[in-house]
Amino acid sequence: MVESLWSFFSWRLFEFPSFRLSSVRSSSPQRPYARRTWSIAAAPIYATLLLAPVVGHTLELKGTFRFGTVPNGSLADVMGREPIVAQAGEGEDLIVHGHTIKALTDAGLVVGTSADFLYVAVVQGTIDVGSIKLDAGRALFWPTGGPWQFAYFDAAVLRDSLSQSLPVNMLTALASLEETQETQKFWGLLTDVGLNLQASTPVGLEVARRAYLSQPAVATIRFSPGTEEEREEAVAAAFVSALRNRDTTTIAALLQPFPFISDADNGVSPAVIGRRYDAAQALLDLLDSRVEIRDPVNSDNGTWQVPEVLSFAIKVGDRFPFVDASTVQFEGSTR
Amino acid sequence: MNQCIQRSVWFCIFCSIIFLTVGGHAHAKFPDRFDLQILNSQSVVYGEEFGLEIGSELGLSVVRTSPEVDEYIFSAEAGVVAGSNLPTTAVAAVDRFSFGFTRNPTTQIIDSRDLDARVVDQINSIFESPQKENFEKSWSQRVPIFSPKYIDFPGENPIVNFDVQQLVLKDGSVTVATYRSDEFEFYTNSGAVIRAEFVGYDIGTDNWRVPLASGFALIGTLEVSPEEIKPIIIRKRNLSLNPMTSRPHVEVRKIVPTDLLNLIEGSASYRSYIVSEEELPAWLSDLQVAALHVEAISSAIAEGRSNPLPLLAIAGVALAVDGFGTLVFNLSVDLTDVALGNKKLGDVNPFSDEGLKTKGIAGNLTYGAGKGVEGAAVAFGMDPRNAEALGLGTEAALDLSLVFFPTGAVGKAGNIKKSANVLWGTAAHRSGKAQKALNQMGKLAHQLGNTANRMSKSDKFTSYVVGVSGSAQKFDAALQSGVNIGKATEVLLNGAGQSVRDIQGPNLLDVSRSLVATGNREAQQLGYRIFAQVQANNFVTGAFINSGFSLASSSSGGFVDAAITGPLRFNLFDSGNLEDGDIVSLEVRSLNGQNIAPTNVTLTFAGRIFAPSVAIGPVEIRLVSVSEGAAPPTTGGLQILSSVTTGPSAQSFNLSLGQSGILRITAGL
Repeated sequence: MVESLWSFFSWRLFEFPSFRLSSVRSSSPQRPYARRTWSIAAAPIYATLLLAPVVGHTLELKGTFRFGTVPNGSLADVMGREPIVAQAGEGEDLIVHGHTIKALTDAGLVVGTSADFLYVAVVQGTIDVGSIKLDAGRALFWPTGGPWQFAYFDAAVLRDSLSQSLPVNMLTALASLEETQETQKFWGLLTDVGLNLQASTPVGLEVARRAYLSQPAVATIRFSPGTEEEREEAVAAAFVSALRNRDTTTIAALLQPFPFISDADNGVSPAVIGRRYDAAQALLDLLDSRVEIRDPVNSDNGTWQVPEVLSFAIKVGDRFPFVDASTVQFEGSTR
Repeated sequence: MNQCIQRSVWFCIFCSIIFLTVGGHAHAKFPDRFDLQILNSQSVVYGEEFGLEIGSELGLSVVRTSPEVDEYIFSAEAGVVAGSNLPTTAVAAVDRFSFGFTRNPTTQIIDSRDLDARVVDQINSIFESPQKENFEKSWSQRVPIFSPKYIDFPGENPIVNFDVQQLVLKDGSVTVATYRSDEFEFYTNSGAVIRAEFVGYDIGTDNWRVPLASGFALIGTLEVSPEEIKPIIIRKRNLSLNPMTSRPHVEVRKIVPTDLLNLIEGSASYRSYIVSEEELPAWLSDLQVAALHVEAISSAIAEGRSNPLPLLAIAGVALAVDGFGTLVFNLSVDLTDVALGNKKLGDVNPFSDEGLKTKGIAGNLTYGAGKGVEGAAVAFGMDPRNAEALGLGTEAALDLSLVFFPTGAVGKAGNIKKSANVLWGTAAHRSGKAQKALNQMGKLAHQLGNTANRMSKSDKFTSYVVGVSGSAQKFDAALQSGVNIGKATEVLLNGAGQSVRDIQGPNLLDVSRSLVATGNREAQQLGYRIFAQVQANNFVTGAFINSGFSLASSSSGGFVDAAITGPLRFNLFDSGNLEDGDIVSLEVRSLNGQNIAPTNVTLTFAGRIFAPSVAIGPVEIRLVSVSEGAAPPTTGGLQILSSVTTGPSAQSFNLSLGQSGILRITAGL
C-alpha cells in the first residue's frame, strides 16, 4: 500500500560497489503519535490521463498523490510538490528544467525535484540524456551545481511508495526489476548508502527548504545547466524581468527568505514566506510602472544595476543566489 | 462566668467562619486527589471529506508517594474510535493496563517512562524557566510551541491571551484558566500549511493538583495545495467524573464562557466506512502532534503563571489521555490494514515504540469485535518485541495474548460476553470486571455516535476481516470443528497452510513446543508463554494470566547472558585461592514461578550441582553474598552444565557482602 505522501520524502540512496545506487526506499519516519496513520495515509487523487504536448511529440504526465494530469506549463510547479509519472513513446522528448530526456524506446519514468536534487528514475524502457543511455532500473540525479550522477534505484521500495500511483505496466516492470535486484542485493552487489533523494535532510527541514527552493522561478534556475556565475546572472535577469512584468510571485520567490525570519519563527515558516511576499509587493508599489526597465548589468562593486532605475545585490543562501531585499535601491524612479 | 461563656461562643463562631472561608471552600466536596474517572473525546474534521472521533475512559489515581513525588497513575478502561476512513473499533481493558507520570511538587518537573518524552521535556522546560511575573490573572505571551528541540515544524509561534480566575462553587473552589490564541501558521511534514487559532480551558482544584475538566479546539484551514484549502477543526475534551455516581464534578457550561465553549463542543460529521480503501490524510498525524503540544504547553503556562507554587496536573493529563486515544486509533488502523490484506492479523500491535510510548505497560487489552468472525475477538497484551526493545525483558509481556474464537460456537447473542469469558476467564467475568469493561465499550460507542450504535459497524468490519484473510478463514474453520487456540494461533502467526483439524482437542504443550521449534520470533515468544502458562496451570480457556512478577532483563554482577537448550543444570563452586567458607544465597526463578527459593549455599571447590525445573523462556539465577568467608570478597564460579547455545558456559562472580549478581539465561527446548 502507498505509505503516504510521506513515502516520497523517504527515498534513500544505495551504494553499489564503485557506483552510487539511488533508491526510492520507503522508510518509516519516527512518528510521535499515530504512526499507523502513514500505513494507510494520503489518498491519491487521480485524474484521467491526458496527453500533454511536449516538443513535437506527446507525453503522458501525471502527479502521484495530490495532482492528476499535469497541466501545460505546470510541470516545474508540480514536480516541486510531488513526483511525476511520465510515460513516453519511442522518440518522444521530455524537457525538464532545460534538460532534454529522450525516450529511445517506450519508456516509463518517475521524475521529480527535491530541495537538493532533480532526479529521473527509469522504470521501463531506455532513455537518453545528454548522449548518455539509461536503461530500466537506473536513475540519474542532478544536485544543484554538480554534474549528473547515475545509479540504480530500489525497485521494491519504489513499488511500495508509489504502488497506487503507477500504471499497471510500470508496476509489472518494477516487479521484474525487483526480482533481479533481490539477487544482486543477496550477493552484496547493491548496498544502501542511506541518501534519500526525496529528502536529503530531516523531513521538517526538507519541507521548509522546499518552500523557498522549489518554487518554479528558483527551481528552473537551480537545475538548468550552467555555472554559478550563469545562475547568478539568470537570477538577476529573472528578478528584473519580474519587476518589469509586475509579477509579485516571482519577485518574492527570488528574494532571500532568511532576513524575514523573526524570533517567533521556527525556521522558514509560512509566515516568513508571507512576509517575503509582502516585501515583494512593497517593492513593486515603490516602482513607477511607467518607467522603462532595461536588462541588468553587473557592476564593478558586485551589485547589479538597472541604469537609472535600481540596483541590488545577490547573496547566496542555501547554495542559491537570491536577491538580497535589503540591498534593493531605486534611483529616482519610484512613486 | 458569663463572660467566659460568651468568649467561648464567640471563639467557636470565629473558628467556624475561618474554617468555612479557608478550609471549607478549598477542600469541601471535590475529590482529594484520588480515584478520578476521566472521560475523553477527540475529534478531527477536515471539510466534508474527513472526520474522526475517538472516545476513551480512564481511571486516574493521584497519590503522594513521598514529599518529592506525586504519582499520577492512569488505568485504561475502554476506548472507541470511528471515522470516515476507519472501521469502528472498541477496546476494553480488564486489569493492570496502567501508565502514568510522576511530578515533583517542589520543582514541578514531571517524569514518565510511558509518555512521549518530547512533550514531557517541553512541559518541563516551561517550569525550568522561572516566570518573571507570577500570580497573574490576565496576560498575553508568545507560546514556544515550535522549536528544533521539541516539535520541529517550520512555523510561527502563536501569541496567546490567558485569563485565570478563582471561583467558589458549592463543592469548593476551583481555578479556571481560559486561553485564546491569535492566528498562527505552520507547515506539516507533508508540506501542507495549517493556519489556525486555538482556544482552551482548564478547570482544576487544589491548586491545579486535581484536574476536573479541560477543553481545547484548534480551528482554521488546511492548505494541501493552493487549490485545495478547506476548514479544519480538532477538538479535545476531558471531564472528570465521580466514580461513584458517574456524574461530572463540575458543570463546565456554568463555568466557561459560552462563546469559548461553543468552539470546543461539537461532534464530527462524517460517513463511517466499514473498511475503506481510502487512505487517511497525510497531515493527520502532524496535526495531532501539533495540537497536543499546543494544548499541553498552553495548559502548563496557564498553571505556571497563576499559582505561587504551580502544581502541574492538567498538561500531563492531556498528554496521557491523548496517548490512550492514540493506542485505540493505532489498533483501528492496523485492523484496517489486515482487512485490506496489507498486514497479517498476527502483526497487529497497537503498542509502538515509534508511536505511543507505552513502556512498562502490561495487562490485558481486549479488542472486542462485536459479533466477531461471525465472531473473532482478539486479546492484546504487550508485544514481547517491544518489551525487549524497552529493556524490560519478555517477561514484561506476560499478558501477550492473541486469541480468536468463532461465534458459530457461541451463538450471535451475547457474543461479546462470551468473548470475555474466553479471553479473560470466567472468573474475571464473574467478578464483574469484564462486564464493567463491556459496558464501557458499549456506552462509549453509543456516546460517539449519539444515536447510532457504532458497534454494528464493528461487526461488519470483523466479518470483512475474515472474508479477506485466508489464514483467518482457515482459522475459523478450525475452530468450528473444535477449539484449539494454540494451533490456530500458530496458523495466524505463521500463515501456515497446514490443516488445523488434525488435533481435535487442545494440546497446548505440543502447540507451544511446535511454536518454539518452528515458528518465527513472535511465534516462539508466544510458544514460551503458552508453555509457561501450561506449566503453571494458569492457562484456562484462553485466558493468559500474568503471574505477577518480573524477571531481570539482563545479567549483572559479572555474569553474562546465556542461552541453553534442554533442562537447566549448573554447578556452583568457590573459585578463590582457598576454600574460605564463602556463602551465597541462591534463588532461581522462571516464568513458571520460583524454582529454587532463596537457599544459602556454602561454596566449595568441588561445588554443588543444581537442576531446577525451569520454564522455557527467561530464567533468573540470583546470587547474594551472605558471607565473604575468611578472605573477602565472595569469589565463585557457575558452570552451566546444560547445552549452551550462546554466551559463556563458565561464569564467575565477585561479590561484596550483601551484593547481588544475576545470571539471566534463556532456556530453550
